Amino acid sequence: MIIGIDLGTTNSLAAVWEDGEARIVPNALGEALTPSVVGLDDTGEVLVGMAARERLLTHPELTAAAFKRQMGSDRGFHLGKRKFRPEELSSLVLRALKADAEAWLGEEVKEAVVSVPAYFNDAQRKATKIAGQLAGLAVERLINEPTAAALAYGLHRRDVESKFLIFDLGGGTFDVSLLELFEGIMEVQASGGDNFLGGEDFVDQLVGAFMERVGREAGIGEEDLEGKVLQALRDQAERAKREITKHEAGTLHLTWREQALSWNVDETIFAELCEPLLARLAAPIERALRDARIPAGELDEVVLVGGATRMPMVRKMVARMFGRLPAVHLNPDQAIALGAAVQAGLKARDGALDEVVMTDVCPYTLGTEIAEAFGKGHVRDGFFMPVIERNTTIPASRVERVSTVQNYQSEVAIKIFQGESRQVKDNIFLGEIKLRVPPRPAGEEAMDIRFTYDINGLLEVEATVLSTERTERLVIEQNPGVLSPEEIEKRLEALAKLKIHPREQTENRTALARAERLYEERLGELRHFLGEQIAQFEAVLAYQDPREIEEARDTLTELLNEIEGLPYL
Amino acid sequence: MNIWRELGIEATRDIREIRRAYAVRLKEAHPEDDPEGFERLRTAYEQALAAARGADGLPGFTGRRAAAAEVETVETAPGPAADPGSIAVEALLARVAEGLARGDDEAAVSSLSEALQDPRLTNLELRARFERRLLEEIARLDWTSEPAAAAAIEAFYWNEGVGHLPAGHQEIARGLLGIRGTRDRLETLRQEGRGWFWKFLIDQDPLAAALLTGRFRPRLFRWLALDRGIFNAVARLLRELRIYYPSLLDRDLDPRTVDWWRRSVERPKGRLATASHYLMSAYWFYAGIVLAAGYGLDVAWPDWLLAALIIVGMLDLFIDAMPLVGTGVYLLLATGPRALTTLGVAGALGCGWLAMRLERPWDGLAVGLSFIFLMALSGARDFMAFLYGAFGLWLVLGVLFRLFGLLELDLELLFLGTQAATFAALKLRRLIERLRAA
Repeated sequence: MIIGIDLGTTNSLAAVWEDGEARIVPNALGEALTPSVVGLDDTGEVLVGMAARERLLTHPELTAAAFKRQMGSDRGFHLGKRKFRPEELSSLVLRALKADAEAWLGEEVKEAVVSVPAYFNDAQRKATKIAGQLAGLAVERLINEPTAAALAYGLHRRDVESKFLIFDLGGGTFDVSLLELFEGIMEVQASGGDNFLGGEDFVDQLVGAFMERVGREAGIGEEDLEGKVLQALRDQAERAKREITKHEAGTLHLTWREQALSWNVDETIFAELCEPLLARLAAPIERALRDARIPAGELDEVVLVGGATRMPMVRKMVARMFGRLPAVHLNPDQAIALGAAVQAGLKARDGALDEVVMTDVCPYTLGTEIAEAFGKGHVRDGFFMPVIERNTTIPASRVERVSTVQNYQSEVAIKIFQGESRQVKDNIFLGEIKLRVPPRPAGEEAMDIRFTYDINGLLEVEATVLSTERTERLVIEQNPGVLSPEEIEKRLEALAKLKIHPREQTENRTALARAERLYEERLGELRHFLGEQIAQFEAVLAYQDPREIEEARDTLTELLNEIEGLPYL
Repeated sequence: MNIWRELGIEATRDIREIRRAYAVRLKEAHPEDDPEGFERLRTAYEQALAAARGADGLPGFTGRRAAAAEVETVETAPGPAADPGSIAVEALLARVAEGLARGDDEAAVSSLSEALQDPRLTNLELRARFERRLLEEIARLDWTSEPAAAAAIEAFYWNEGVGHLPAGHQEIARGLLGIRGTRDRLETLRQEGRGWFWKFLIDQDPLAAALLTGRFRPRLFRWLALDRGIFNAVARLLRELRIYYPSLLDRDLDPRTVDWWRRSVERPKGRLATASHYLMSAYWFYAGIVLAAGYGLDVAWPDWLLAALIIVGMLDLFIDAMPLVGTGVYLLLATGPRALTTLGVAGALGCGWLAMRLERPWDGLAVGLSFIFLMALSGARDFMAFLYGAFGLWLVLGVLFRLFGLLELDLELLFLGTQAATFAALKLRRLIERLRAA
């Protein structure tokens, strides 16, 4: 069984293709969404999901969130004394989802289709694949998030020819894809995006504004804004954001040195704060429309995906841009996972999906650095030569021929870049191949550089010297964001030594973590009361009587709900 | 590859049929299982579509160039002028045109960015309409404000491609891109020009920029203008600037410098007028020495001068600007008191220079062999005389050609030609002497 996984910045979820439809896999708490938060318990056990998210507020030094934003880099996250790479943390989330799917399906799961933002680059994709490997999952396919959503959306609309746009604003990334449906084919015409624009940025705006308007007066300095204070404020901002979506206004509360601070925000203020973020939505859309040469007026539908598209200001912006109301048939949180499950079904050649073919594109230009000759015998390097132009349908393979520029050079370094700028210094460096050439005068040695961009969005580069027919394949070594096979082995061993918190205890642990978080947040009598409740619950847990524990947990959860309302996801 | 065979249909311009054929074949050449087959199919499909669309007569496919003609048809077309969107677009355009009409860059930029910020242009359809109308307006007003062009390019991503526009509009957008391209290039050049000396060693363009921006003292740059490479680089840059970025010429560059270049580049009269500067130049200097040496005047050279000339000669290996300086150097070395030892040094320098200069070592070797050959034929003494004569002639002709622009002859070719001529002259003189003696 291949499962589909949406590995999100804020939340992750899994789905499976079963009996001719895609179904969401519930986690240990019975929820669809698992927060992409990983932490260590006081005992050193790994916590993933809701419990970890609660502990982000009480134990920020032992917890990590939003690590997807660092995928493909070598930035580490410290949990206590241990340092984790982003792909390791992602692998722990994937492992939790895998366990959920196994519990639900009653069989072992070894393969998965994992979604990635369309605009993820080569290193980020490789890191995602490695995260799967570290979690014991063979990533059969990486699927672009908007493409996955399009699969979920277009699956039942294949009979009609149509053009639609997927607007995917997730927790950390923004993607746009333009699709055309014809003759039963789903074809991505163009994709674009912004890897650093998502719901989290809207939360940051609220945090920043709170600091400016309330925090500074109360004496909170920038340097205080870390650890618990920052996490509490972010949590409050997240809640307020949701409140605003529902009731057009919300409040941020913060307890700072025994003083209770609060700030009311309504939708107008929030939208004003987010003006610069909203302005960034237009560019990728316009670019994609231009590349696909589809005028905005020709679109049959604009489909919203991603939790952040729930915000009214985003919907209003989309409505203004397209002069129409966007489609909201899909559950914005689940569409991508469902689409990934459809892809898993396609991969497994499920009979119900026999006629579906989906083609995707490469969302950015890939090429190599070249030197250009100026005047007589003068060369200047640093220029970008595109090999695969952006929005080329993939899989694609292209060859360019280059020749030597220096007399008697014996080695050619082929540097691979991604980006749209004419100068490589403004593009993203992906890797380098070194190639030996027979030393001959400039221009007399030529080599073919072949770029092959596969269906997973992974790049392979091959260079052949024409005179010697010597071929080198690119193993990207210079990229610190990608682990080497040896390192993967080492990390696997290290991860195997980690103790994972038992899955059947998840509900208890989550309730306890939530109560502990509330205990820290509240003051006075309520705090005292909560303390008693926690002690009582811990006592029941010690007896290990399942029925009693369940009862006690339900009572506690109800109590917590009464204090702060239902938990959000 | 026959695209129609790949698609499995007869050649057609019916897009619908092409798509259907593609869909059928796609199930066999599935991108997941058969990437290579898929690629072949995809290439065929895209080519077939392009052919069909081309034949359909997309706007501008009539073969008429001329943005203006295209624009006219668009303007006079009975468009949906009455709808509120068009009215809004026209109102915004009128404001931009007003700003442009005022003639200064600042007004142009601010009127344009104001219009682009208008909330009505959040709508992507209106924005696209505004984009086209703006291009038409730019063509109508014969717009050359560089900063405003840059703002428009940035707003509509024209630098990333203009394929989405009709052909006539594409042309106008490309014109604007030309304006900005030159600006960018100059900017890079100026930045690079900072370490001008080292850049000077490897490249001419930054040097040209440095010359134009008045980074050099006027006297110095006039000397440098003697090098054809530098001269052409400056001429090229100046030409581009005049076409695409006239405001920079007036505003950012030293007007006297630009003026001098303009005169020497553009008007033959101006070039003649600069002849006096050439008199001071290395060309004449060395030509004089070489001629004197070559024709028997015995000049004794102090050691410090020789040392200085050796350094210049070394630099000559790297600097394209002064190929002739070094030539003089080894001649001087040969005439000096330590003629034989210094000849060795000079020879090494000369071979290196030739290899560099000709960029093809085989040619360098051939020239070297021709030297030896000539030496063997004429004997060492005559050979030296021959060399002086040849170089002298070469220098004189080179300067004359440069001055009057008579010939765009390669200096190397000239070198070989004069070699042969002088050799012949020497042989003739020897013959006459022998006859006289007889």
